[in-house]
Amino acid sequence: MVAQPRSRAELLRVLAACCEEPGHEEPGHEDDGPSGIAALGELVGLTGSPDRATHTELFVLELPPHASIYLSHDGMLGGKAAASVGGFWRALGIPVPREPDHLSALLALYASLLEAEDRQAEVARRDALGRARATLLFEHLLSWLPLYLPVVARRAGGFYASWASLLEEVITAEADELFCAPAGHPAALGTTARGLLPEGLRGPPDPPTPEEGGRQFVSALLTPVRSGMLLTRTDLAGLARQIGAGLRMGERRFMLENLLDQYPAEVICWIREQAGSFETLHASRLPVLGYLVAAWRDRAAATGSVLEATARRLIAAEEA
Amino acid sequence: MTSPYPTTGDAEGRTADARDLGGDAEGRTADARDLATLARRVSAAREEAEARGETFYPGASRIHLASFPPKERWDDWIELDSRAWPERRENRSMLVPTTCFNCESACGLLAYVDLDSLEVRKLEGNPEHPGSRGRNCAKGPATLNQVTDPDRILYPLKRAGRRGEGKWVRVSWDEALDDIAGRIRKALDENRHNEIVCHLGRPGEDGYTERVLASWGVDGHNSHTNVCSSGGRAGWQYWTGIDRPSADFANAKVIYLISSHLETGHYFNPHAQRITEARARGAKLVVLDTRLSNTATHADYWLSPRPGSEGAINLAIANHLIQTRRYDAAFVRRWWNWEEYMAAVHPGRERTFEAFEEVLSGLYREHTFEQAAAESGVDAAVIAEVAEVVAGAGERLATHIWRSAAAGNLGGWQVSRTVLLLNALLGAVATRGGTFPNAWNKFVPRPIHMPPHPEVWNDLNWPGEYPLSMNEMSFLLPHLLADGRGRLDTYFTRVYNPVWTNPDGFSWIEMLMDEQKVGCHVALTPTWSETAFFADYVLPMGHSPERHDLTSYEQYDGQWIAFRQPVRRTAMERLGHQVTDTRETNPGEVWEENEWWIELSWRIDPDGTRSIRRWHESVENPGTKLTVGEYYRYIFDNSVPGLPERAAAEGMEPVEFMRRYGAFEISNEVGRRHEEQVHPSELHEVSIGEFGRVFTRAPAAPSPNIVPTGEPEPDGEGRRSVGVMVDGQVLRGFPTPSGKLEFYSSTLAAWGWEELAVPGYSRSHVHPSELDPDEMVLISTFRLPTQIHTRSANSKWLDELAHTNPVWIHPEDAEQRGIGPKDLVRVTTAIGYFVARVWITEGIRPGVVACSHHMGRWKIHDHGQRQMMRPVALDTEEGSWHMRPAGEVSGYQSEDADTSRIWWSDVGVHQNLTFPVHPDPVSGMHCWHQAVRVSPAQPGDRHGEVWVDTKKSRELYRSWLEMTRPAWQVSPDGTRRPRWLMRPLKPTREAYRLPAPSEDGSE
Repeated sequence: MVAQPRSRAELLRVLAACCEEPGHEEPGHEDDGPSGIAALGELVGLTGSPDRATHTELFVLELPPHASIYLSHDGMLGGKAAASVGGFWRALGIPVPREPDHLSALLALYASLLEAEDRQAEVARRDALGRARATLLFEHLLSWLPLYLPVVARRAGGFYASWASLLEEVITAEADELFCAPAGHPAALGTTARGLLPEGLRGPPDPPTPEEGGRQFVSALLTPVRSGMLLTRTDLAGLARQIGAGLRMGERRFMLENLLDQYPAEVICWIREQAGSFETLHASRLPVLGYLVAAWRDRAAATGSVLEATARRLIAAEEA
Repeated sequence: MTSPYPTTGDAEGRTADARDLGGDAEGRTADARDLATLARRVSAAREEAEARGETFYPGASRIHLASFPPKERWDDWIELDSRAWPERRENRSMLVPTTCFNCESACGLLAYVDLDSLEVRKLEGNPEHPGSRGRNCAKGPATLNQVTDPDRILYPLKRAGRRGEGKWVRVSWDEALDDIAGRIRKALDENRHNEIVCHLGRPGEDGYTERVLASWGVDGHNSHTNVCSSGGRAGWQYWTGIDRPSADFANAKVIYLISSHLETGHYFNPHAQRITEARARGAKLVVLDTRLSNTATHADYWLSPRPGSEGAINLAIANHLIQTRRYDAAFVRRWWNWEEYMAAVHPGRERTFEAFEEVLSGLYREHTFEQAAAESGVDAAVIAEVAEVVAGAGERLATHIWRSAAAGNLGGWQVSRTVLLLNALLGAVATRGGTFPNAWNKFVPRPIHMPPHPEVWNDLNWPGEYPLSMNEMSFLLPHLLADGRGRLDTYFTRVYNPVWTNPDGFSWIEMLMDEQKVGCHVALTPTWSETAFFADYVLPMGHSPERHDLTSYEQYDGQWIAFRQPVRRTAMERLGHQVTDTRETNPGEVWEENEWWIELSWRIDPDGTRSIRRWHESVENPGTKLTVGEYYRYIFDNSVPGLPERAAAEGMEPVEFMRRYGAFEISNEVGRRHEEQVHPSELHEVSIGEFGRVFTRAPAAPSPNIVPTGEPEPDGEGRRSVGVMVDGQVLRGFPTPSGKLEFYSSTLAAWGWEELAVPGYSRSHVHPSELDPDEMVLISTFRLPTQIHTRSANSKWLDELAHTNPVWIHPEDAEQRGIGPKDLVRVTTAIGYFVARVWITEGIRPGVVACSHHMGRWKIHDHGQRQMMRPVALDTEEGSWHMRPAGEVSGYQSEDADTSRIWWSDVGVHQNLTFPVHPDPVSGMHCWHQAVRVSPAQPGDRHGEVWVDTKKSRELYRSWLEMTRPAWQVSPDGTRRPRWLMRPLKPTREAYRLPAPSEDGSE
């Protein structure tokens, strides 16, 4: 049984609130019981409790919850990808918030659309709101969350791992409601009818290649929409430990460039393995999200192939 | 590698009913049941939390737009002290709402009252306020500067030397009250009611002071409105019977501003945020402003007309709507008083709508784009493009004018009337996205006592030359007294600074220095002002967190009230302290006005025999003094629909709810009041006038909302007007004589201004044809976005942002006059000159200069503010006044370390001193624009220097007076003024009757 739209909206808002900084909303009250966010988490059965250090580590340093990072062709915050999300808010006639592509804002917007649709008595307007909601889900949430949430779940543990899992479940249920709707249901969407992918994922995979040149190649490896994977600073630090390389702390591109300078073959082999893992991860979700994750899987696979060849060349060159 | 799942392009041929993502839909719904339970649990928890009056979602800004402390934490809010970083020191505060008093918008503030010291730590926005919605401009938080101002007046002061000499002694409140009350009592006992006048600056609470004066039986209310918004109001009143626009900006398709509404003005912050929302949704913004204001920089169309030509542009747009038949004929037919117009002006023609349309089509035909271009200097093609944009707005045209051109020009009220013509043509009146009469978006709750209006008429406030003036002719007071038309025994200036704000300030000084004309001048003020220097008593009144007021302003299509309250008093009472009056919780002996007026009224009538005291007595405990607590408790319990129920839902008394949250929204989406059907129970023995006005003998039910509007007169047999017949139905209509929108004002026609009875364009006193070749127009009315007239003199945060007022001049004009960047210039008006620095900019059209009126504060003695008031030397000889700078502002030591960091010395120039009075003969508005000559400064000229000849200002006063058509010449019914027009105090019918000419003293 599916819950009423208004209740689903509430649940989404709770999940939106859970990726905001805990305790920030009420400093000094850490000692008088759980913070507002902790209470919300408890209400929806999340395990553990949120804490500010983990939140900062996860959402500020490692995995900022902004769609633009995961959907832009430079893998950076803001830019065209964020502007496109801003345009979506504008098209709906809603003031564009400061961070229109922040996960929390997107979930809150989705919740608002769900409620507005539910309240709307006029059929044509209701349909329009349904289409807007479906577009938001398809273009701006389902496009990147299948990559993002599993990484959060794996990296975080505790409160945020259970948050990521629940959110994935809820988002998937929303996708079911919209895209598995019977024919004629207003929510059944035109965009998916033609099997189109979200704008950010359209076109064949464009894997990183060494021929792009050093810096571009490194950037492309760290750009999810090109490589099909998501490498964090912690991943790179782990790599350095694993191969015994010196780690120069800085932004990810700087770190990876330095590692490649030191041990090119080992580093490429390791990234090849990561691509393989992501390919497996995406493949495991195919039964749930179909061709949406296939697009991610194909990207990871293409990257794996390029790196496989690159690794062989490097090893051969070393041996020579 | 080939994917088993479809990717781009692989879905060709899929059918419309197979819209899944290619996964296994069956398998995916298995968990839905758990999620449904979870979702319901969340819903239930939210409902429970909100029923307890708590905030459910924590304050993450992205979840609900803005982040505010949850209201259930307001009693004990903890923040880390940023100055203590990295130490984690906690500050505990009680958050108490009040409303800002630094402009008329009354935005919500939350005072952070420190729970240890009970001092106000800071002020931020109140999210519970429906108008401002938690947002403030810089002036709101800067209230703290005023509270902690090291130079503020903390104790009652009495003049010690000669008036204006600058010697003061501290006196007790009792001494001041007894002396003032004694004077007033004596004047009333000797039937000298018209010698008591109270002159108001910014009103605090709608109608409060008027009721105090009414309780004394005096017609002594004098407002500042005729130097402010009378022109804008008059145009509205003649059309609708209501004197302000309330534009539904947020839902507009086109916003048409003759104002700088995105940065200043009434009601800037609440309106600006809604204009911004509309623009985000694609609304077009048209701004008419000669000057490139901050607002103009945001416009889709910025038109920079010659000052005074705005009405010509409005009429060209109106003509375009008419000629292309883009107006809403059905609305015009239903709601304009066209039948009355046809009968009065075209009696020979058939009285049909078709005939009217023919007349209308000819009426504005000469107002072509080319004619408007010739008048305004704006390209005809641009005006044509804007006309098309306006035409496309339909019912969603939001227009606004308040001061600007309406306050600058002779006939400025017609600018406002022609703006509303656009709404009236498009039917964009009281529509979603259109413009409403303000009274429908405002709620003034009925108070505990309503004393009757006075039996006297004060000719000093309402001289017979101006029978149609929108408000009191306040700025003429020095001239009227000089004419020998009366004297003042006791004159209050209350939060008002006419010496600095009004034109012709030296004439004000002459008046205030003359004890024959002004027996006792009492300045009720929170801060030193140029006017207070010439007072006999200076009595300290509270700033916004130190006083009570109840406010309601039109800021969107809804009605709300907001509560200004002394926040320390409220906090202390909530903590269990007993507080008797607000002086106990304010700094020094600063009082609040409401308690002061009650106390003064009791002392005027100590034994109750003069029937004054009873209007200030408790109802709960008869015979005792009314307290502010009871005053507001009564209003909240009895006069605010929905408030008792809302408070009860949170387990509170209404007054407790208002003290806790500071605001309450009474209604939202009020809509088209004029279309409401009059209930049959109100229709008893009706009569219907020739043009459909419906009158009834059924008494009016007392309304809890006493918002001021026009009051149409009863029919000849005493029936009150109740509605208007439209297409066979009795509808509520508008509070005008006809009940309709008065395209044709029978009032203007009957009172001597027949040629101005329909919206039209008349040339300003600064029209090019009125100027000598070397003259320019000076625009002096604009504000600096972060300044507040008198009270910002020591608002250090604001002063740092803006502290001077250079003269804007176009590069061509500067070059022609040999003026270089930042040069000093002498600006010469009809009565004197001032010396200022120029700012050469293309942001002003050639031939026009502009200078903001906010600056040039001065003082002649040591006391006064030190951050923005320049010491000056003032010399006078037979009407010739010379003000010369005698020092500069600079840093100084005080308990506030920031006062040593004042880095500016230039505080601008006081230009208003050099302006003669220009009373519009119809609206009574002072027409601010000046014809000036601008030349390089002469040797010896100093920045800030002013010279004026007040003998010339007398001549100018007389020449403008000649334009009037006095009541004793034109009154059609032997009265002083059309009785239906608004008037803050409305004397009895007998007092409205014109005296015999000799008694009037005017012939």
